[in-house]
Amino acid sequence: MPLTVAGIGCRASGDDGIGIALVEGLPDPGPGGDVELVVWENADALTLVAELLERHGPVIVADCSDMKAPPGTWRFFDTASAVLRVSPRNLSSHGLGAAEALAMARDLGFTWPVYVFGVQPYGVAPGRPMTPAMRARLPELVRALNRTIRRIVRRSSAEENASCRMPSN
Amino acid sequence: MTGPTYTIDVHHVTRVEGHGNIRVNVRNGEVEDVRLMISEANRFFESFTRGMRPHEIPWIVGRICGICCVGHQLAATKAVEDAQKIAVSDQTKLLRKLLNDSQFIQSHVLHVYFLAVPDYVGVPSVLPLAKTHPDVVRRALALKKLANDYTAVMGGRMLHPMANTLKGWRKLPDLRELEKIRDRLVAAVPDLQETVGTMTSLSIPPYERETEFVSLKHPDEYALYDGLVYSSDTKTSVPVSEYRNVTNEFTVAHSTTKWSRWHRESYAVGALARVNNNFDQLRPEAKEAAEAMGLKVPCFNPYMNNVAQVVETIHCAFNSVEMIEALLQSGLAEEDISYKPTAGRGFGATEVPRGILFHDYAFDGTGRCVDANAVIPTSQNINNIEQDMRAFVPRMLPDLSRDDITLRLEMLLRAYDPCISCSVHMLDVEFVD
Repeated sequence: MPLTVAGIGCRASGDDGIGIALVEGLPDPGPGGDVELVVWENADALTLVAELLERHGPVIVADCSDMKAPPGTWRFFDTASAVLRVSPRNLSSHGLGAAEALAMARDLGFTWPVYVFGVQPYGVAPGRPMTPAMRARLPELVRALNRTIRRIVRRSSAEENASCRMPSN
Repeated sequence: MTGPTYTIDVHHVTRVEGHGNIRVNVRNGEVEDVRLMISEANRFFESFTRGMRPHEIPWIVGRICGICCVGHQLAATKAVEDAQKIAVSDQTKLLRKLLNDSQFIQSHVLHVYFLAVPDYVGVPSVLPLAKTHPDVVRRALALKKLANDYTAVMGGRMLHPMANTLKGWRKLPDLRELEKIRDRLVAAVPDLQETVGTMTSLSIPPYERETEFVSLKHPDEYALYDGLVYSSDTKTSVPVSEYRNVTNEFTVAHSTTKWSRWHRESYAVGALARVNNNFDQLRPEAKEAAEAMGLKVPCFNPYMNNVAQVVETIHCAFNSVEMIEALLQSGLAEEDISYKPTAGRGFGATEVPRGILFHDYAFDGTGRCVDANAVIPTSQNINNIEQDMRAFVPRMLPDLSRDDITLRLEMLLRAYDPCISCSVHMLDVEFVD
């Protein structure tokens, strides 16, 4: 059950492309390993659901996130421990976001953990490249994401081994 | 006179792209007024294009819509090429037809499954649908992903593709990737058949109103990319360059969208119009699906537009397989896409999922755009939707509650798959007490 690390966002909207830049900045794990890197650029919510349903392991989503934190800071959290607000109203396709996508994926049987590596943007604006401040932070953020990935892989391996050692009834 | 007095006021209708309101006044059991009010602000895309060079325009106007981005790009490309007197190769036409088909599959699947079906199974949105009908949603997601990937292979990316340009393709599709799309389309046939089964199980409201249907018509194929402008009233066609005499746009006080009419008070465009006008040219598999779902032409029930969308999805899937196989056999050749900007005016039309789309551009001697106009399907349909509502509400009133009438009117609007944002204007239903 490989760990998927997915960069999402739009690289033509300033720091909204940080998730994509992070994944593209990670060292290539090579084929057949315990980590798969993917970019889901400009993916709408329904595409996100479809991509999640094709995975058979935990997923880390690297994304630009408004966490009311100082710009450039990152946070890593398990979506199971976060409150993601889902709109209860009749939704158009424009009304579906990442929270709705995750809720739908769960309803459709996606049970693997989904983590978010979120980065607070300096600026998000259509038609703009990444801000210079975020570009300067990028190497450190990539290292932080890489350390986080290694930690999750170790934890997943440990859990898998423990599961294998469990006596069967 | 006795009878209920109330107002239906839907402010904004949900699960449509953009904002529109429905208002119905019922006094003493009689319908006093029915209005479809569009309140979105103008977007001025035509103004954006002024001063631009010819090849820049299709990429810019594609941004009018995230759903119909391919259609806007293709209609604009054709109009600019007409103005610049640019001829395109058969290879380019085939690539554009494939790109267009990918958009049709994506848009129709999105609309039918995620925006229309929830009404028919009594849930407010696709989110609860995932709980109650997970297999249906999984199937829809798989079909939509296939269509998205198809667009990405053809156009370079799934949203606002950039490969198509004047005279040809900036970067030709990878034939190995296209072969995979062909295989996935073939593998999707059971899902398409299941889609027909799902639609057959839905209870379509029975309301009909004799309507003028307008679409492109082509002598050799089911017209989606090219053709003349055909009316079901006159059984004749006119050139795309005469589109202003087709749309005859006019304004009404309660809508920021312009309205259209041709040979009568209103006309309809879209999947049902195309299926009605060009049924004989559908793929046999699509005709069989139409029959299985109870769609017989002429069909004057606008709620059946959702069924027509499924018919076209099947047509596009099988048509794509055939076109891809032709392309795999012939191979692709790099083409010269250079051109010299010149003065002139040109017109282009394509069918997009919601109906016929017109673009019109004029350029000065330096090759800069000096005038532009686009007439999108929803602005052509809005008048017809209101006419439908005016005809249907009196028929609904004796048997349906206020809430049921509201739902039926919202479903009617959604059946047309309107893109109010594109039309520059959309819907909420309001019953007036």
